[in-house]
Amino acid sequence: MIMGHHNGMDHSPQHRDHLHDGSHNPVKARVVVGIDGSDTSWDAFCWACGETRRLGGWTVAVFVGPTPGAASATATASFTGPAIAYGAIQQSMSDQAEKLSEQVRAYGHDHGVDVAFVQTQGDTARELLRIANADHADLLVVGRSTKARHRIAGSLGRRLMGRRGAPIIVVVP
Amino acid sequence: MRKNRQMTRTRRIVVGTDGSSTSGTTLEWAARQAELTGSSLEVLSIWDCPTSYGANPIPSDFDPRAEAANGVDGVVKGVRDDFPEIAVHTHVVQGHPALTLEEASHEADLLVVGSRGNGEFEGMLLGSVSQYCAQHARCPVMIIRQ
Repeated sequence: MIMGHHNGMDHSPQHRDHLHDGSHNPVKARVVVGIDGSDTSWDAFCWACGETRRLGGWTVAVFVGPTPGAASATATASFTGPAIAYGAIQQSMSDQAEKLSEQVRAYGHDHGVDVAFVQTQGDTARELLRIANADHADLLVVGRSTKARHRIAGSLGRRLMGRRGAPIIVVVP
Repeated sequence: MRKNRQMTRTRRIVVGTDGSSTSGTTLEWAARQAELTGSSLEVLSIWDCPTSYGANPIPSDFDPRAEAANGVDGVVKGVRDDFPEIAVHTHVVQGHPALTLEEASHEADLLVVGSRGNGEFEGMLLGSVSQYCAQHARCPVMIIRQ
């Protein structure tokens, strides 16, 4: 986690009274946003930062990578061919995560927004909800899925909406 | 109408209501967001003629438009009292809720909808308004858990 600098953000009570915990201490807002390198997820991240800047708090950018099993399933594999290069797949995911991490932190730094980067693996919807609930997130922001297969299988936003305990969700086109 | 992109334009947040108390949470969140962002709040009271298969006669004094207009005034009064600093505009619109909200999103900076269809707009399938808006709206869609 990095500590960004606050640029005179409005911390007045009337803007955040709904964020108080039981002890009436002001709680910093947490906006969780799922990122995957796509344009829409980048737009979602920028929207999330706009919100964090207004609310005062943290943007938590979450990159959900596929599990190694899923990664190998998407790679072309043959039983008679050479061994699956798990190492290469993992490295490529790490490279992507590191690049995303640098990009989001640079954005946060440039815009005076506190940004945290989290990398995790597994089912995207489940991981985002797990992190949002664990973090007591105020908002969960995702980009609208544009991939055709997501439209058929069910976009991320739709899957998040259907789950119990989903916090307020924002879908950014 | 093309979206006005001048720097000084007022931001607009659109929220739909059927005038019932179950849409209060969604409306409240929309108002909070309007306050937070300095946006105006556009409240759409959406109505349509009910489809009938002829089993029950429709009363001669049935006026869904008037009901929608009166209903929205009631719910909006609460919002105006709680959020005196935001500009609240009401619109009574005939049409299908999902399509109407999607069209309104062309001129909005944010669309706020409830997660459940039932209670928000009677007769809609569970969540179908919010799902449609999330997939088709031109602006970000905030889905309020209900």
